[in-house]
Amino acid sequence: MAKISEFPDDLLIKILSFLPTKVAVSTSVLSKQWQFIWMWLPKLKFTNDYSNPIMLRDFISKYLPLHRAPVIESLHLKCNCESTEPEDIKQWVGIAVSRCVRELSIYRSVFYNAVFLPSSLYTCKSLVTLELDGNILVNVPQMVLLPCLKTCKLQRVIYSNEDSLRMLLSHCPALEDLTISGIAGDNMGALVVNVPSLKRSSLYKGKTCSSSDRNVIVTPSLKYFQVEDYRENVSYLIEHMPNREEADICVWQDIDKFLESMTSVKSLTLRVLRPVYLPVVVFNQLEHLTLHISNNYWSKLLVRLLKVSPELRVLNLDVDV
Amino acid sequence: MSKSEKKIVLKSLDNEAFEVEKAVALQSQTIWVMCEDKCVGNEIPLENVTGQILAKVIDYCKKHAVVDGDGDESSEELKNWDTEFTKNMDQSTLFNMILAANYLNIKSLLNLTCQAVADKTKTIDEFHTFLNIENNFTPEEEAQICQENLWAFDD
Repeated sequence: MAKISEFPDDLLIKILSFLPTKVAVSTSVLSKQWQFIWMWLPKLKFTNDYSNPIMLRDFISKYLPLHRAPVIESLHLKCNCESTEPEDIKQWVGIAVSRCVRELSIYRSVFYNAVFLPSSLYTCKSLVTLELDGNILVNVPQMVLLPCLKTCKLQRVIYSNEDSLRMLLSHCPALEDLTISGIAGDNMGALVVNVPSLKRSSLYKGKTCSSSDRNVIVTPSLKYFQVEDYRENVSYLIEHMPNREEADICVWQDIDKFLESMTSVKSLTLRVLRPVYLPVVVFNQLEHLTLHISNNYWSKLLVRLLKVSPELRVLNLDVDV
Repeated sequence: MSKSEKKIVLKSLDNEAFEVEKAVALQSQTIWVMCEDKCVGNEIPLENVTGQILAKVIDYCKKHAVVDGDGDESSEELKNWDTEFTKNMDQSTLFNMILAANYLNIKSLLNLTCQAVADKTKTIDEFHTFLNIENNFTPEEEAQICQENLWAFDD
């Protein structure tokens, strides 16, 4: 009969990899065979949900440098407390980069000092997924190239200067999925998304974000596009997106430019914030239309949209309460 | 290709023979490599797997060979089938399935069976009982490990 004590270590590591990191580490107490198995885990998720953040900080500081897995496939960090210094997180990210990290996710609460990332992160050849959320400074150095990055989420982060985001995105030749969420005072500057490989994109700018008239969107391969921009004094330059299949638009300014860029769309969701003048376009492939009704501006738009959408099959009218 | 060439015979450790479609068997990377190797005939001996376990592995591979290539609808069905497949397996069967999936190099089956073990072991007590692991630490050693990894033992 098979006994677990006869299993090779790589099978024990495999079993542990399906458990939360905290449970996996606790198996160190099972037996001498199991004591150090967790130190080979390729995926690490450290979060202070339901655990003491100071103990967590001490644990990561002590063991991450000693971690034995030659490749850290993923590192999730959510360690927020007074005693977790930005320098700690910078060091941990540096270790992950030196172990060819593929997936990196960091959450930093706005109540604690901003985290600076090591410059080695911006030339990490193995990185496929990057998710940064919260008080993290995106300080893109002169040397930047993320050749394998496919998914990038930047939410509520701050930028070291107004060119940082453009610099970063223009050196991600494989990027397919992008989420950007701006906040007031984030120093993002203009939203310049010029990424030929991009397939999915979600952009959010709140009303209090700084205005800019140089927003540029050049994404010829885009299939899914979501944008919410509540700023009043902005303007966009948008290149036609021939492959776009699905779009969800909610903008104060320039809605006509967004609509003009997407005549091939199959599914469209619109939230109208003020009177809209529909450009002279025909939505030849539009099959699903959802219109959010929250003010008086939608009815005229609906009549005009119905006239220019010969293939429409499904119409949803959502009442926003 | 004649009909017989599409079939392949898998022979278990206890000499049980299973005739299966090649497409079913080739989900195993190990069998795939053996078939590529011209030295092997139509009958493949699998020295590490008993007939009882091999029958289950073949059930899994048949299900996955049939559904692969169909639409999205079936992926949900397949997931449910996978859950049912491992749900009532006892410890001994699960262990043997893990070893078989590892030997035969069927990645999705290995993931499924390791996940099934992980699902049954969420606490240290469950590890000890379900996996039948004997604690060979002295109480002092155990206390020291807990002290060194405080975060993991803080509830």
